[in-house]
Amino acid sequence: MKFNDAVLGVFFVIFAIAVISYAQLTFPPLHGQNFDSRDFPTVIGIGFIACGVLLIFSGLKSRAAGSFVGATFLSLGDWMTNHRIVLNFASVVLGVLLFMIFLNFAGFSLTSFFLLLVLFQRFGNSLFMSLISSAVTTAAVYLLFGTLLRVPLPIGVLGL
Amino acid sequence: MDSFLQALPIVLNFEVLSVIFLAAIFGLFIGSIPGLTATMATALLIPVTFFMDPVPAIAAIVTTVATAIFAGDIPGALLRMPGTPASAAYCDEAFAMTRKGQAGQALGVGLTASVIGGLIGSTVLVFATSTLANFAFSFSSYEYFWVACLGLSCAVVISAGSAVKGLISLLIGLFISTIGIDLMSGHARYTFGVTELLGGVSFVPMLIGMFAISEIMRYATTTAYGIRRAPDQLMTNPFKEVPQILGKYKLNLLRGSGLGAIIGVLPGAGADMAAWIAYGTSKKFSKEREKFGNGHVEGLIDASAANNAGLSGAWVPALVFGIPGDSITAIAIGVLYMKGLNPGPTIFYENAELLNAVFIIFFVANLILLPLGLVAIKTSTMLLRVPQRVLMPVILMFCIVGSFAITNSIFGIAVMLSAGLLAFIMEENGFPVAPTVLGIVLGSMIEEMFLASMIKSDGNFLEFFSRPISCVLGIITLAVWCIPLVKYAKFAFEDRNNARPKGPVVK
Repeated sequence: MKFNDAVLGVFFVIFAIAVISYAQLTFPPLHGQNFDSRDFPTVIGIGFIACGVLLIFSGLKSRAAGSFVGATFLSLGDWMTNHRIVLNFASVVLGVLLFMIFLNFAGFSLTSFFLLLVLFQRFGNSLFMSLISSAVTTAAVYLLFGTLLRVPLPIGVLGL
Repeated sequence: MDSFLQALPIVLNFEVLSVIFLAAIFGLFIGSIPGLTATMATALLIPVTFFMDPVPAIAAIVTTVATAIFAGDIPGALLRMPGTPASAAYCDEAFAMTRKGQAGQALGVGLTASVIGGLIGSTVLVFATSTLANFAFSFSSYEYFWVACLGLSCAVVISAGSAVKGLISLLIGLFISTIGIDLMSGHARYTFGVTELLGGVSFVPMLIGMFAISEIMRYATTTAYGIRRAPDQLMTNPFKEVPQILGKYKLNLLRGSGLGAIIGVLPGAGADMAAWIAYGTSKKFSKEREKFGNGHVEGLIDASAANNAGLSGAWVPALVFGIPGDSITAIAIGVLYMKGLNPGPTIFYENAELLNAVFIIFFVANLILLPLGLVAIKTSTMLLRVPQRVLMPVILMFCIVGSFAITNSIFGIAVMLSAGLLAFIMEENGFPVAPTVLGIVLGSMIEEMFLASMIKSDGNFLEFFSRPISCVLGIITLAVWCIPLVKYAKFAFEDRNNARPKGPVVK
């Protein structure tokens, strides 16, 4: 997913304006001092604006030149046209999101097992291999972090 | 000397030595798998080091990195796929040797050069840090401000690709460093009411996300799968002709190590940059330049020594000023803070024993690389057969639990995922990630030193140049800022010259 530099430039300029105005409007001034907690974020914001403007120029220039990379405002990578790969990517991101949602409720062992099972399957392992690897990995992680390093991994309603 | 002798038993005991041994195996394994970098290995390691004492924790990091950087040569030589970016410079050369049936020799020379480079780099580390520390004692907030600025500027100027993108990457890091309670005013900045953000964005989950999760995402989006089989070559004795070869090219070995250590010291230029420059220098000054690219061992010696020497060099600014030399030392600085070993010149007095222990670890880690590296070379064909489709989900689960372990809450996982997505999108669009990490580490230091200096000087910026050292550092920093402008001007000038017709046009 490659954006044209101009698109990124516009994004950074807007982001910078948000950063600066939030700092200037909501951070309290330090009494009796000329310098306070608003200054550093403002300097960063100004930096973002300067770089953003440079990016806009270079993006528009490459678009005008019709170069392969900058010809469109957004060019999807090879992988985004391939359904299987898009699903792989989504399963990593959504998998971790769902893991976070269900972790406290279902407990570590169950959520870990299912997330691993889905990923092993998506990355092209056989079902048997996926089941075994998911179980072994979950057990190993539990042993290392849960038992040996005493990380309080959630046990969930089922007590797993 | 006394503190050095006192430090010996801190390192040479069963616990630390077994950590070094295990970390070496871990580093060799991760390094020899293409796509898994030494930085990723370090990021994966931090949750575990979190639970260790300071010395074993640092021992684990130093050893893992040193062994992973060498192990990157293995798939580079056998499959033409560098295991870590630091091996990319001479990957083609090593593969050309494999094609001639000299895989064992390429790896044997690479291993020995790595070990010697690592040892020379460690020696440089010991002497450079103590010399610089005496110098750093006279630093005030002005000098620290300039040193931090210089570090960040080098990271941007040196980083590959566009300087503007490098600068944006740095600004992203600096912005992230402002999140949380501001120490001067006590006001919460950009936390939007989220209590977990009050102490700042958790550093470790962030790093795991940026270096490991983004790598897993990249794997998930690769279009070309499949394992390439390594050529079956007998590697009975990889060290067979090594003494003769190294004897012939001993100057290359010294030059590569020295160059690597110096480049390593520069912030932002890590082991990969050291390897590229050393390889280039080797080719430039070689008497047999025509042999380069056809499986010639000379460049391999320079570059293998340089990347391992660079690792130690990167620790110099990290220990003396708290300014990381590369992404790995950025992580290490985080670990040092976590363990109460605040980097800076005072570490030499407050924790002299521990510091000497760190130095000893560097030597032990590089020495242990020799026997274990040999085992890795011998088992390389087996190592390369580990399928990534099995490995990636396992690594993901380690990342998740590691991030959870640091914060003991789901928030750590959320930070990890967001950082992973950020790094993935940044890299897809040509933004280097290393400046962001340096920005996160140095952001609060720069802000603190800047505000302290400004308040001290009552807003007079010229005061930043009032002391001799700060004046020199300031001028150097400003000069570094001019490099991209000069480059741009030169580029524009050449462009205009090329556009002009060169001679009479014949119709």
